[in-house]
Amino acid sequence: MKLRARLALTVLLGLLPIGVAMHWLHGSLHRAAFEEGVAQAVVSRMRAGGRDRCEEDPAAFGREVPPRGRGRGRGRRGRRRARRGPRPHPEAPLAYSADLRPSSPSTPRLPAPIESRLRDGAPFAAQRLGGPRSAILYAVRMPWSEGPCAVIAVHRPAPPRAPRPLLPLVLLSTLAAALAFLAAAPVVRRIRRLTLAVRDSPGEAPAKIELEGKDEVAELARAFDAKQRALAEQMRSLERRDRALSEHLANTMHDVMIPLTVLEGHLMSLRASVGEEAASEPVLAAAIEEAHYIATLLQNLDAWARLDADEHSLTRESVDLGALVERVVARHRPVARERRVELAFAVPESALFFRGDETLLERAVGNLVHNAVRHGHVGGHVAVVLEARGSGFELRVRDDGPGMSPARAQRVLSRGAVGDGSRGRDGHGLGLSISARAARLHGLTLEFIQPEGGGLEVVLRS
Amino acid sequence: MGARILVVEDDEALGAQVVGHLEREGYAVTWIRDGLEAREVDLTGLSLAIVDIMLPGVWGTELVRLYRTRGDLPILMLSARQSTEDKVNALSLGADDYMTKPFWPEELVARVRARLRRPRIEEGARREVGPLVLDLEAGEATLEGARLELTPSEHALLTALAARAGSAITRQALMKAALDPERRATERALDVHVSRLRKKLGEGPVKIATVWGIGYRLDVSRS
Repeated sequence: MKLRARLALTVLLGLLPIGVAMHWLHGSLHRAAFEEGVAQAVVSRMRAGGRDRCEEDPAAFGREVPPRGRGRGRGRRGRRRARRGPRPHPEAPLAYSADLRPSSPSTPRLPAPIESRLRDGAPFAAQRLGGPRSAILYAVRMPWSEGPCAVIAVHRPAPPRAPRPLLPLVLLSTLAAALAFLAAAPVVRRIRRLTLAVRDSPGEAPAKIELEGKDEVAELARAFDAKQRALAEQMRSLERRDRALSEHLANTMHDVMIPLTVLEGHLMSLRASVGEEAASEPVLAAAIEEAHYIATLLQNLDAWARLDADEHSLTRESVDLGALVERVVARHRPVARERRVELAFAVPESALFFRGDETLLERAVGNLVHNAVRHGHVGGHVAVVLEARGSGFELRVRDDGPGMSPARAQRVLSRGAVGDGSRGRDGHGLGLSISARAARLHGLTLEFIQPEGGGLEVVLRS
Repeated sequence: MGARILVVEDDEALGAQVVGHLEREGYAVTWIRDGLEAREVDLTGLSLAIVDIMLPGVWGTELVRLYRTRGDLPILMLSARQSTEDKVNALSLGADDYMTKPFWPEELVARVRARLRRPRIEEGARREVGPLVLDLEAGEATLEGARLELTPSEHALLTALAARAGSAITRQALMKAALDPERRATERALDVHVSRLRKKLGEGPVKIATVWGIGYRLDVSRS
């Protein structure tokens, strides 16, 4: 709900109960004043001779109809009435002692609620005798507490209705709500301006958010402005640190890769000088494999770090996939040779191009070949086949090794796969995870197939 | 003496290895360690330059740009930086190839050979692969001067293999290139043709190798 509507509704909902309460209070006060008036009138009449008449004959008190004034009722009818005696008043006052005992046998007891109130010390009590407009019985304690007329009860018609202010109060509440709605308009306009300014402010180089005035909205605008500048500076600082870290990582990688290249060169020189029958041959083969593994792991860690930093900043160019496959096979041939794995490849005669990040694609294909060579049987086979498929391509890496369970394959294809014992030490599946991630980023599919005859075939397809 | 190669590499151990590998392959190598000195080198007579990307005194990419102004000497860049942007930058400045470290010596040698490779002899409809000569027009073939009696399918198959001698070709590609599509060529039919061709080639320097998981490859030994 918008602010102005909320404000108007709040005013309305706040004032209405107040109005209803005031209406009720007004009625109560009116009723109380009427009752007070009745009580005082009864006391006055009793003081003005009523007490004497009452105490003289409580049973007859108030039952006579007083003369209707001088000269009135003294005609033939009045003289006949006088000869019959006093006429009983249908609503004659009733007399009670101080302890509320009726003063004559014909006087009824006071209703229990009235008795209760009088015993509690109230100077008077009243009770409606029937429906809303029926007469009311008022019982009034006299200023004296002795004698049979210490409490006098009288009947009176229902008091007139109190004036009803409810409708004016409702109208007033509605008017107040409308005024609140209108009064909030300038404030809401300023808040909207602030909202637009915040929304339109670019994140990297925030524009100053300005709002004139000295009210709370202007203060809020200044606070927003200060906060977004601080956040922008923090972002710039983080970006600087990120760049520095990336540069540091690249330099570190550079420093590591050179001795690793030299190590690989020495191992190959040693290989050339040592025959296959030499006792050190297995050790040398293992050293060559481990050097290759270290290099692959470092390159994978670098690739993963780059992807984590910003996987959307791929450098896409036209990649000759056939040349890529040739490079990958050349990279893994020495290790395949040590494991006596026949590593072969086939590419189309015509160049096959794909638009992608060449380094990442080479890493992805390299990891597939690396896993096939490293985890295949000694003396086994690995075949890498690239073929055109319609306007795209299909690249298959097939081996006759132990294969991979569907569950493991599924874990690899999901993010953050972890290696298990069946594939041995493989950097927690980092290589295949990078291949899967690279495939996803390039819109390629990566599929693991268990071919007839065993082994594993990994298919990368556009 | 083989081709002359310039190597610009400041790391002693790596430079010595690269020079050693190339010299063992029969290349004549000039090794410069300093980037500033490399700026002044005479490029005349060189067949290839191998330049490291990070050199004291000057970036390898600056050398590439400089060498490009002096001619079209093929340039192979060596780098430990793994990002595609660095590679694209180097190639855009004029490098012909970009190789990341680490690499096996044979990888480097293979890349150098690829840059210096002479084109296969193909004159018109004649294809020569070592001792094997194919006349594409006449549909004839000779091996070490002796005529091979081949059926049209066998000739087409041998031609397809010879066109990419040393490289494996898939069965599907061979079937498509060599067998009559009207006759619903099958892998079984291909295998039969290969078997017959092998017999006709005998035990000489030209052999058809079976490549597991792929198909076949024509191997030519040059002894």
